[in-house]
Amino acid sequence: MSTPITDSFETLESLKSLLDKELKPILVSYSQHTPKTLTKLKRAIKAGELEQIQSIAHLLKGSSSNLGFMQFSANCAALEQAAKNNAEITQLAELSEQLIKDAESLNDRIEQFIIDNF
Amino acid sequence: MLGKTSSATKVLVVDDDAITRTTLIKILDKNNLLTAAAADGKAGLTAFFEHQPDLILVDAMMPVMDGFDFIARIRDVERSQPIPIIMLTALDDMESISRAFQVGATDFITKPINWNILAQRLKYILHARHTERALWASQQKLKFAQKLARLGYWEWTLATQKIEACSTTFDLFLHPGETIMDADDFFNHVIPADRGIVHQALQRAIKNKTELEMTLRVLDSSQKIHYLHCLGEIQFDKQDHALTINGSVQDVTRLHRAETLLHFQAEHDSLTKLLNRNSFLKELEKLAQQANHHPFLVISLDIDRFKLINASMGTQTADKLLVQVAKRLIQLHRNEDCIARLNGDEFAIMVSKIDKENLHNVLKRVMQNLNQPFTVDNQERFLSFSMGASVFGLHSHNAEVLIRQANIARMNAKHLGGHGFKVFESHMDNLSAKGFELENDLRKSLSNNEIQVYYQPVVDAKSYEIKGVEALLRWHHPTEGFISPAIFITLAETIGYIHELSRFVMSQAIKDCATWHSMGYPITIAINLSTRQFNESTLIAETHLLINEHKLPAEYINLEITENLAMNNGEQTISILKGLKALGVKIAIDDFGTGYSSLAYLHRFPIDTLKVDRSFVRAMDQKEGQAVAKTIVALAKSLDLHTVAEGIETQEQIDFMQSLDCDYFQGFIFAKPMPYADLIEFLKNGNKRVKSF
Repeated sequence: MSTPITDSFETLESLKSLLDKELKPILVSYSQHTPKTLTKLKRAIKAGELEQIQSIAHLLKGSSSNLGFMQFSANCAALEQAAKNNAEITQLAELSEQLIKDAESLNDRIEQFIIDNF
Repeated sequence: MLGKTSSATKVLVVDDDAITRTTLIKILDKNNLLTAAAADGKAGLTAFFEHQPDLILVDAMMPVMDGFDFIARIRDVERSQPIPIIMLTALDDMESISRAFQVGATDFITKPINWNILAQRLKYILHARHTERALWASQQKLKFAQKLARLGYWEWTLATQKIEACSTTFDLFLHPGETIMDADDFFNHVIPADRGIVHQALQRAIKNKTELEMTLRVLDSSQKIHYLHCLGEIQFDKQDHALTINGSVQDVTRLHRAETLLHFQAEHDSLTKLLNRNSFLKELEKLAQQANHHPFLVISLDIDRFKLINASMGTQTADKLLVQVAKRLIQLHRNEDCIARLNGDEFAIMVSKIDKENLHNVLKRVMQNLNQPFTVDNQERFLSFSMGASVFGLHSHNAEVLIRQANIARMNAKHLGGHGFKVFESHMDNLSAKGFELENDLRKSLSNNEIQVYYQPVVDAKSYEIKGVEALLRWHHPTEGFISPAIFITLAETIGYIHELSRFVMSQAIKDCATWHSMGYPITIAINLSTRQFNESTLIAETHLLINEHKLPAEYINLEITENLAMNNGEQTISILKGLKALGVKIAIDDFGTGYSSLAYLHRFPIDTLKVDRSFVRAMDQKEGQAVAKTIVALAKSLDLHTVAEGIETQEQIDFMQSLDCDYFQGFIFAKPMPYADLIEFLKNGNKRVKSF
């Protein structure tokens, strides 16, 4: 379960060449949004609000995949699907714990990317 | 590629994901496209009207209004040629892609978005659009001319059974490219059920020397049915033998669909798709005419306190609930029965072929079925229903009267507290007339000083000392005597008079309590808040005003809300409660245990007291009742809340609740609710009387 996120930053490199400096605020916003979203997710899991879990996972899945974080996005998709299938809360909690860990390591790398590129 | 036009080209981006939306906008900016953005379908529609974009990028799944709905609505309002709408979908989501096309999407782009080719892709679509637009303009002129001649012509020679026709006719009958055919083959795409119509219509027209008129259904290769309307004129020879028929054909599918829809809408309730009142009445009338040997049953039912449910859950959720009720009723029904939604939360069922003996069994079965929980938005909800019934032949032979009688019986069941059924009896007719009078009387009750606030003491569970009182409303009707609160509170909720009553009890109770304090009895006052009152934006300010006016320390005021009110719309409840708590008042949850509290949620509510519902106190002689009471008190202790046991009537109940360490008691065994003056006497005699119950 706990393989570190090894998502490539190829998409970010393309976006960098397309958008140049304009990419920075997007990344900053992503790395600020994600922890907030994950806090919401935790709350939803605590309250057992399956629909809410599903929609949060869906949103994260979309933004992450469009920035090329495919493995992270796939993990979001797994959570979305599990919530859709009324999975046990314990399973959902496990999946979201994984996401939180992944997000942390991903965020570290994004910060590094920002430092390296801007 | 776009040349001059690109600078004036505007793209609307509709996506709830802020990251993707921003990235899209920035990429489009870089490519010299003008942009507008919206975070959901509804905002997207507004932006569409405001910006009149040349192209739209829209996400599939969004809150408020999703992408499919968004596209469908745009396609609905478009007058000229359609604007290109590109849907963003997940790569593997075939269902979304096909749905997107169904609702009118022009194309789709899969996620993850390939940013490198995005701009080129859009420019290509815009370019194609530009060319298409020019073509469209010239085609429009042509189309208009064709539209006038949208009829197909045919000639049927009866002797040879050959049909000659124009290309439009052959196209419509699914024989493209033909010019002449055998009549048998010509009609072979007409669905089998309609082939007989051709022969019949022909025979009738020849016999009566009238026009040939028929509508035939043909099934095309995509299994779609088209309605073809044929009109023909028969030529006869001098001996009156039919020779040829010359006629026209027109595709009336759209018209037919519209008619069918209108027809369906006229007969059915749009929310639940059940029959509406009118068509239910028609069905009953039809049956009444042939029912001499088979009596049938008419059941009328409605949800108890639906207005309250509606107010607390919101109309949308309440509507979902109504749809669930309709589904449940459909599951229950047999083929020959019919079900209708009469109005609001009122449903009706006709059960055919009923015997007097099994009448109650049928009603019981329906009731038991409806007592099962309903699931709405992933939440189970228990509803209670009032039901009334009338029997054809036994009560009336008139359909309309039967419905009315069933309604009267239902109202009778409702007046007895709801959650039950009644079969119509003739004396109920008077009662229902009374119901209307009661409504009018209730509206005048406050100004006529017929409403009084009674107070029921709440005592300490160990010392039996009076700790406070609960304010309860009593209505002394000038001719009917005391009317049960179960009846008039429900009635007040129904007719919208509850607000006046709630305000009255609040101000009277606070004023009275302040008086007792000044007399040296520092007791608490518990006041029930109605749903309506609780959701009034003025509640906090009004409470504040009353506290100041009567100089009653706020901590002596206990505001009680029911569990259901608290749990529905929890977040909003929490913020209102916090506002009230800021005034210093205490909050209690009433009827605790009867609703569907999320226990995990409870600790977030800024409350002080749980009131154990009387039904559990009453059931204390059974294990289940004991278990529930134990759990509630333990829960309250763990959350540091006080507990009040309501409806204490016996020594056994006192003993048991004491063993659980419940804090306060309320019940007839200590004291009944009493008017202001009696309470003062009671306070004066005070502890002696309570102790020696």
